[in-house]
Amino acid sequence: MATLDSAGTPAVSGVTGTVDVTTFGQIWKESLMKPRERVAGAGLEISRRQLLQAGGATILVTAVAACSGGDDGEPRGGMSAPSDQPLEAPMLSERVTAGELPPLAERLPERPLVVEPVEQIGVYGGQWRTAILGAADSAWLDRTIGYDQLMRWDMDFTVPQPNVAESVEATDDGRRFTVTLRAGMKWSDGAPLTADDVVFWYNDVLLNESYPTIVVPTELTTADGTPAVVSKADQYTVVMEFAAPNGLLEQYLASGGSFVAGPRHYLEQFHPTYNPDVAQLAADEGHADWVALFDAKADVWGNPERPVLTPWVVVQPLGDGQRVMAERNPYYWKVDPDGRQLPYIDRVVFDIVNDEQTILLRATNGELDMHMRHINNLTNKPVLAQNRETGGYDFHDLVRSTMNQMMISLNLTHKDPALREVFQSKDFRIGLSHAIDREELIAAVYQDQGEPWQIAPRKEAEFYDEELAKQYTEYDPDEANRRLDRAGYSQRDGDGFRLRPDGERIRFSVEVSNHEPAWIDSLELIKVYWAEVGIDMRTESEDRSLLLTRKEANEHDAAVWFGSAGLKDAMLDPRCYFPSNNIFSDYAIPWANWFVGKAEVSEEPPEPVKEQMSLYRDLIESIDRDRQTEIFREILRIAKEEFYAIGTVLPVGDYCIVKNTFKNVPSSLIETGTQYPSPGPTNPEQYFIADS
Amino acid sequence: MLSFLGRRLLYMVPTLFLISVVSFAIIQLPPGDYLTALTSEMEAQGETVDNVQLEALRARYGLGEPFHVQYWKWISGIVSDLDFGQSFEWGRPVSTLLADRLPLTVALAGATLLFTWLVALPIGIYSAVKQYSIGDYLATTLGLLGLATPNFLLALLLMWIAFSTFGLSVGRPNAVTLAIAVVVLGTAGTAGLIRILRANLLDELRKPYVVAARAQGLPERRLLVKYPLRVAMNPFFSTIGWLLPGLVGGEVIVATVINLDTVGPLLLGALQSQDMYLAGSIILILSALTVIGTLISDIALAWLDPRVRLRYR
Repeated sequence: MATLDSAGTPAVSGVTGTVDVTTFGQIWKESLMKPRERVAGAGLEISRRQLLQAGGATILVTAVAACSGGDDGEPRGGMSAPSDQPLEAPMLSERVTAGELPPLAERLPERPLVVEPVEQIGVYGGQWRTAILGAADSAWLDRTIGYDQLMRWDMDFTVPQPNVAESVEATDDGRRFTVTLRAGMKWSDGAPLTADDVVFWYNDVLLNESYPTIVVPTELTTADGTPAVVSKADQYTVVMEFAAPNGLLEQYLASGGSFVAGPRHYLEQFHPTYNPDVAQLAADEGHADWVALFDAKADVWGNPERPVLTPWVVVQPLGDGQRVMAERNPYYWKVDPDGRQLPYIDRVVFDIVNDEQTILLRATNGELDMHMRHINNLTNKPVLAQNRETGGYDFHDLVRSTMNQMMISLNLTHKDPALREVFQSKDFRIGLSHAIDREELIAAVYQDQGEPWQIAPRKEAEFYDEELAKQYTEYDPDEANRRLDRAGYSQRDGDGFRLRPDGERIRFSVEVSNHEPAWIDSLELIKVYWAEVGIDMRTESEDRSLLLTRKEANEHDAAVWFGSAGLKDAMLDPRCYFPSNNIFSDYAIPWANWFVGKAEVSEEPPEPVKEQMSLYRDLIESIDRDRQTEIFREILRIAKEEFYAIGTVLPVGDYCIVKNTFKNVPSSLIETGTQYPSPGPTNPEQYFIADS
Repeated sequence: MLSFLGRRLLYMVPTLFLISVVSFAIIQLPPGDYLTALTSEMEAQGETVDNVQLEALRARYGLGEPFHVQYWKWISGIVSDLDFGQSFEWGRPVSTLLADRLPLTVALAGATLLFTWLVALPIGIYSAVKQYSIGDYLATTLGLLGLATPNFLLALLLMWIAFSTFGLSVGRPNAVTLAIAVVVLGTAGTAGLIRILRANLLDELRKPYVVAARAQGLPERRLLVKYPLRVAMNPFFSTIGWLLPGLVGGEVIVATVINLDTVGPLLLGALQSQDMYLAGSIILILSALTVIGTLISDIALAWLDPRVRLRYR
C-alpha cells in the first residue's frame, strides 16, 4: 500500500522511486487508529485528479441542492455562479449524495461571508503540505488553520473587519458593545452557532474560577481588573458591557487567540454546572478532575471531536503520531464571489519535524507548499534562493512587525543605586548609542540587510516618526565621548575605563539569551565599541528561561531582546515605548509592575513615565480611532524624549516561501505574531493549488 | 545462582528509589519552570503571553509547591497505579506518549545491535588474527573514523546524499530514513566493539592454552572459534544492559536530525521545555532499564562464563 506521505502528491524532485515501505511504527499506529481516522487516511489515496473527475459528476447534485434552498426557502444572496462550476468541493458533494451531509444551502449561514480572492477564483482539491517544529510549535497551527475570531484584520493590518460576528457596534460612550452573529451559521458538526455559545464560553469557562486554564484576558477587563459582563440579547445577539470605555476592544477581537465562543452543545457535558456526574466521567476517562477532562475535550488540536468554526477541522490530532492533519470543514461559512464554499484546499498536513535543518531540507526539496516560520531567516536565504528552481518555489516579501534586531535595555531601575544613577543618565545612554557602528553591525552580522534604527515604529506604520527612529544612530565616537564626559564620567582609571563619582569603574554585564547567535555576535562587536569610549561591558550568555527568571526578579544589569511591535500592534503592545509589560519591558521591570498593579518588585515611576501611562489609559478609553492614533503619537513623543533603550538595526528583507503551484498568497505579507497571526489574515481558505 | 539472583533483585529497590529522587531533583535544578520556558519560547517566536493566565496555570500545575510535595505527587502515582503524570506540553498522559514511541525505539535499538554485531564480529576477528596486515590497518582506520565522526553530521550528510543524488524522500518514517539511522547509530558502536574485540582476542591468542591447543594440532579455525573467541566475546554480552539507555541517549541528536519519532527527541524536547513529569519519567524509566539490563547481562555472563558463575557459589 502507499503510505500516508506521498499518495496524491507527485514527486517534486523529478526523480521517481520514492521508497515507501510501511514501517513497523506505522503499522502499529494504524492498528490503533480509530475507524474514522482510518477513513481519513484512506481518503488520501484518492488523487486530486480522481477527485476532480468525480467533481464533474456531482455538479448536478450540487445545483439541485442549491435550487432547493434552505428551510426558509429564500434565495441566498450572491450565490449566482457559472453553471459549470460546482459550488462545493467534490469530496463534500459525494457525502451529500450518500446522505451523510445536508445539502450546501442548509450548511451555509443566511448571509455567508464573501471572501475576495487575492488573485483569482480557485479550484477545489489538493493538500497543503507544511511542517511544525516539534509539538510545542502549535502556534503555526493557530496561524494557518486556526484564525477565525469574532473579527479579523484586513490584509493591510489597518481596520478590524467583521468575521464570525456579522457586526460589532459600540455605543457612543464605548462601554457597551453589541455583537451580532451570523444567522444560520454552524459549527463543524452541523450544530448552530448561537449567542448561548458565546455566553457559555465567557461565563462558564473564562469567568469560572475553578477552571484556571483560560482566564478573562486583560483586554476584556477594565484598568481596575473588573471583567466585562457578557449577556445574551437574542438568539444571535450578544452584549458586552464594560465598567469603563474599551477603545481597543475591536482591535483585540481581531487578534489571534482572542475570545470567540465555545461549542456549548458539545462541551457542556464536561462541565459541572451542566453535568453533575462530571467527576465520574473524568475518572472513567482517566483524568484527575473535571478541569483536566475539560482541557482535553476543549483542545482544538488534540481532540478531533471538538466542533470548530475554522476552514479545516483536525482529523489526526496533535500528539497522535508524527503529523497533524486537518480536513475541510463541511459547514464552513465563507464563500468566494461566485458563491462557492471555501476553503478550496481539501487538506492541510503538518509534519511534526524536530529539527530546523530538516525543515530546510524539505523546503529545498519542494516538499513545503507555503512556509514562513523558523527557516525563513537571513542565514538560510542563499540556500533557499539557490534551490528555487529545483524545489519549484519562490520568495514572497514578508514585513515583520519586529522593528529592531536587538534592543539593548540598560536597567534603569537597577538594584544598585550607583549603577542605577549611571543608567538613568540620558547623556550616558546617548553616548553609548553614538559609540555603536551600526553600519558595521549590519555588514558583519546581518548579511548587509538592515538600517540603523532606534526603538521606533517601522516606516510602514502609521506612527512612523523619522526623528525617533534615527536619533543618535550615527557612529560618532567623539560625540560619544563628549556625552559621556558631560554625564559626569570624565575620570578614567589606568586601563582607560571611565569611573563613577565613587571611584569605581563603570562596569556592567549585558545578559543575552543563547538561542539567538546574532545577538551574541553583535554584542561582541559592541563590547569593543564601548571599550573604545571607556566603558567596560561584558556579555553573559545564558539560557532564556534563566534570563527571564532574572529579569522578573530585577537582577539584571542590562539585557537584550528583539524590539517588538513596530506596526499597528504597538497600540495593544507598547512594551518597547513605555514600561507596560512586566516581563519584557527590560529597561524598567519594577515600573511596569507598578503599571500592571503587581505588588512584588514594584516601584513608582517618575513623572514622564506616569504621564505616558495615563495617556495610555486615555487611549484605551477612547473609541475614536483618530484620537487613539493621536494619543499614541504623544506617548511616542515622550518615549523619544526619554530614550529608554538603545536600538540597533531595523530588520528588512524578510521573506517566506511559496510553491509556484500554490496560488492566492499575497506577494507581500505582514507578520506580527499574536495580533496579526500571519498568514491567517490573508485568508488561507482562498489559497488553492493550481495544476502545474 | 538463585541467591545471586535474589540479592541482585533486592539491590535494585534502593537503587531505583535513589534514582527517582535524583532524576526528579535534576530536572528541577534549572532556573524557571515549564511556564517560564513556555513564555520565553513564545516570546522568541513573537507571540505574547497573558500574565494573568500564567499565574492561573502555575497554580493549576502546582509549580509553586515545594520539592517534596511535587515529588510525592509524582512518585505516589507511579507506585500506586503506574501513572507517570501528565505532560504539560503535549497535554497527554506520559504513559501514552511513551507507548506511542517505544515500538520504534526498541525496533531501532534491535536493528542497530544486529548491525553492530554483524559488522564488528567478523572485522574484529579478522584484524586480531591478521594483526598489522593492510586489512587490519584499513579496518582500524575506518573504525576510528566512524568513532570520531559526529553522528548528527553523518546523518545530515547521508540524508543530503539520499535526497540530492538519489532523489529519495527522507526525514519521514520510511525505509531509507530508518536505514540511515541504523547505519549512523551503528557506526560509532561498531568501531568501539571492533577495537575491544581485537584487543581481547589478541590477549587471548597469546595465552599458553592457545599455544598448547595449536601444538596438539587443533585446526586453526576450530581453535579460534571454540576457545579464545568465546572469552573475548564477553564485552558483547556485558554491554547489552547499556544498550537501550545508551541508544536513547546516543540517538537524541540523530533522531532529531532525521526526524524519527522515538523516545530520544521526546526527552530532548521535554528537557528544553522543562516539561518535568515527562522528562523525569523518561529518565526514571531509562534508569530502571539500565538496572534491569545490567542484571540481564550479568545473568548472561554468569551463564556463559563459569569464572563469573563460580565466584558466587
